[in-house]
Amino acid sequence: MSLRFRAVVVGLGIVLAGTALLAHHGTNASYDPKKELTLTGTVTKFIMMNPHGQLFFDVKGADGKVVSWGGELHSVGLLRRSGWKPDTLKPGDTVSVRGYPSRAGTPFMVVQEVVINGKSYFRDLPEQGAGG
Amino acid sequence: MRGVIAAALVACSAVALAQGGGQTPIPCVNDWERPDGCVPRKGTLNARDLSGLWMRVKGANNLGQATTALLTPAGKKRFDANKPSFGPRAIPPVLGNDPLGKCDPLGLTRNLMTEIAARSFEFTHLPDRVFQFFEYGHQYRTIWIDGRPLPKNPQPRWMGYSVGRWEGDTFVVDTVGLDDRVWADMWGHPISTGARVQERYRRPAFDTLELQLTITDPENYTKPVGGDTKVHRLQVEKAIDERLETFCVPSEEEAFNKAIRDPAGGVVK
Repeated sequence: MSLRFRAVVVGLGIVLAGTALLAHHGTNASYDPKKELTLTGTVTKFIMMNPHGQLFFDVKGADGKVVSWGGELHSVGLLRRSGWKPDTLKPGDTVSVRGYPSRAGTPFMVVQEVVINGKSYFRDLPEQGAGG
Repeated sequence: MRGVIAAALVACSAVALAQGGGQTPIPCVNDWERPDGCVPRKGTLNARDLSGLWMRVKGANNLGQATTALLTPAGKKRFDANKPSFGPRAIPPVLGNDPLGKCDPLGLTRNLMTEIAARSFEFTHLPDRVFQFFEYGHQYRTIWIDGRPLPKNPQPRWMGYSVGRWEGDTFVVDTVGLDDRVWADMWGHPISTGARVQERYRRPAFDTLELQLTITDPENYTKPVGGDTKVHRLQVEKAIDERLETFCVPSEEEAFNKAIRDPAGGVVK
C-alpha cells in the first residue's frame, strides 16, 4: 500500500470513526458477522456500480472443485474515496477476500477486506454491516 | 492602465484566497479525475456561515428504541407495517418493503438521520435561501431565510416546506408539510403529514457542525422525538471537495438484487 493510499484509508477511518458505517440494505440480515472467513481466488468480474461494488471470484477447494463466489463491496462513493478505480480489479487477478458469509449458506459474502498483491484495502475502515 | 492592473491583481488575489490562499495542492481522494489536485482550504470560523461539505462523525443513524417506546397506537400500527432491513427488526431486503429498495425518495428526516451518516451533505447560502444538497440520491432542499412564515395548509412534499432563522449563532430550521409515505429513519419509524420538524445547527469550530433534530408528531408519538446530537466534520481539509454523484438508480438496484442481494438472502427469482 502506497504511503498516500494508506494515508487516505486511515483518514477515512478517522472520518468515519464513531459512526457505524451504513450498510446499504439489510446487510446484517443477510450476512453472519460471527462466521468470518477468508478466501483466496481468481477474479472473474468486478463491477464498480451503486448501490454496492460487486466482486466475483473463483475459489478452488482442496478437492479441486471450483466454487464461484460473489462479494458485496462498499458503495461507489466509498470505493472512490478509498482511491479505487473501475480497473482496480481485473479478471485473472489473484485476491484474498475476508468477509462475512451469507446466512442462507449461498456462496456470497459482504466484504470487509481485499488483499491484492500484498496491498490491503478497507482493513482500516469500520466494518461493513455495522450500521442500521 | 495602472488602475486596471491593480484591479486585476486584487481580483486574482480574491480568487486565490477563495481557492485556498496560495496553499499547495495535494492529491485529491478521487485524484484519478483531478490530476490538478485539491487545495486543503483552511479558514477562520464564521459561525453564521455553514457553507461546505460535511460528513457525519458522531451520532446515531436512527431514532432508536427510546422512540419506539413512544409510539401511539396509530404509530405502532404503521411501524409494524413497515418491514425494514436495518435495526432490531431487520429482514433480508427481498422480504421487506423499505422505500429505499425501490429508489423512492427518502424524505427529509431519513436523509438527515441516516443517509448522511455515510455520505456527505452540503450547505450553500444565498441571500434569501439556503440550499442543502444531499449526496445520496443527488437530492436538495430549499430553506427560506427571507422571513416568510410557514404555510398553514401545505401540500405534502418529500422534503417538506422549510424556513430558517438565526437564534444567536444557531441556525434554526422549521419544516412542515412532509409526505407520510417516507419512513422517518432506517428502522421504519413513521412520520405523519402533520409532523413538525425542527433542526438546530451550530458551528462551534471551523471544521465542526452539530445538528439537533426534533420531530413533533402527536399522531405517531406521545412526545417529541429526535435522538442524540449529530456531529459533522468539514471535508475540505481532507481533500474531498466535491459531492460525489450518488443517484439511486432503479436499474442498478435491480441488477444488484439479481446478482448479489437476493441470492445472498437465500432467494433466487
